[in-house]
Amino acid sequence: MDLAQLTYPDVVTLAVPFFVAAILIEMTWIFIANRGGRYEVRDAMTSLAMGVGNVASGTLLGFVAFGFFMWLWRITPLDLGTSWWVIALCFVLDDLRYYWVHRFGHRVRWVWASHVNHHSSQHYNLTTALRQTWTGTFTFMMIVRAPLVLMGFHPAMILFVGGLNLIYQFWIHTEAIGKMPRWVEAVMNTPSHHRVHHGRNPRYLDANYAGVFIIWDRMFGTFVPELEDERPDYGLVHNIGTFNPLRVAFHEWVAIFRDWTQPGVTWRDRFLYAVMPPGWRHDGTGGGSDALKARYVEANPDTAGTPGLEPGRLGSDRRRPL
Amino acid sequence: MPLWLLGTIVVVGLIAVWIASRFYGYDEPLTLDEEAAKREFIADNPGLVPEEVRLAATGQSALIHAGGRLHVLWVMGQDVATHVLDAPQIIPTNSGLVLTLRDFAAPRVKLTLAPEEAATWTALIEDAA
Ligand SMILES: [Zn+2]
Ligand SMILES: [Zn+2]
Repeated sequence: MDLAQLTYPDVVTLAVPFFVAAILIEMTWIFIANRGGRYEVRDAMTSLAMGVGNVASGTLLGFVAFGFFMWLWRITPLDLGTSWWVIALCFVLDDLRYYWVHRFGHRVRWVWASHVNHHSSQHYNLTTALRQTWTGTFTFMMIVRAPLVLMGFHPAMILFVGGLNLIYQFWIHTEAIGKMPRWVEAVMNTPSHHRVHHGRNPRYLDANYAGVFIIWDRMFGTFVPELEDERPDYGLVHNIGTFNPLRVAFHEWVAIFRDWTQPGVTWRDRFLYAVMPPGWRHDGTGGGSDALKARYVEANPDTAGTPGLEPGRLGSDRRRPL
Repeated sequence: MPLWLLGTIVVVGLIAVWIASRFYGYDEPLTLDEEAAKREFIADNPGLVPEEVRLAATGQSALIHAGGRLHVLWVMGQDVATHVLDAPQIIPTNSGLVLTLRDFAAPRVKLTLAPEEAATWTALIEDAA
């Protein structure tokens, strides 16, 4: 088989009718049951507009990543073929790739500038799943997929399993489902685990980066369970005051640019503004998620050591007292 | 899937979600009392404690003194946004005031205020600057 011609169905566009139907069903369920989540018209329309823009930017800029993968494919001597177990293995390894890209997305501001918009809604419903970035290409995170191509997985297969990964993550953006059976919660990413990821409560910050399998968070020490008595408060630590999709898409890139061009910053500072975690400031006045956790524990000492607030997750609060 | 079909499904879907939102009442804005405004402000500004809250008669915006600075809070749908006021431009309008913010995401915020309320707020903001 000529692998240069290998094609798989474009699963994400095929799933669009299902996305629309599921959103209408969730909206109706919340209206009838009067529980299981919240919807707000402008928030939902913004999320959907971000989803449309994500597909459009993928169509316009997708050739950059795909060209890079095809170049790697030409230089690698390895070829794993297309049998079903290779596709399954590719799916699992690409989910590991997703975990790390997502973790960088929260810990490296250059990548956060793209990913932030997925977290810019104060709601958590199926439309939030479609609130996707327009600027992913500029993060250069396609590099993290390079090892997969070099190992002999065909680029078309990698994009196919990546699409399946995205579709899986759609249904977990809901408050209508509580907890799944124990074994599911143990292995898979679920609505409960991903609600934690979208929470801005100090204990829930920088947790549950998983795409499909939650095991990566358990392996790499970033897992935090959803606690019965602490509902996630969704959104950003400091929420953005706009429903305008253009402002949602580009606000953090503009913020980086403004940090770069303020008076008195060195080239080293500019570099660090791009690679340090969100919240870092060159004058030491910033505070990232670990500082927020530390301050929270200081104000609520009885929470020390509870999930998400273990000593290893707390940074030092370098902000001077007001 | 051909582009025309995908485009049609997307447009029909967007319209359907918009109509359903209206029909189910998901377009009703939040109204705050002073306690709720405080709570929302604290949630959005970890580490800051509101010292003084001036809530608009509409319950849709507030001026809040915290950490030695003046902040504005305004309702966005069923949630709120907050921002520190850094010598904003104050633009009077027929329905209240528009304030400029040093923020690409929200460069200006529109506040609905009664005429006498707008005058008091203007004085408070100018005093703080
Ligand atoms: Zn995230
Ligand atoms: Zn999500």
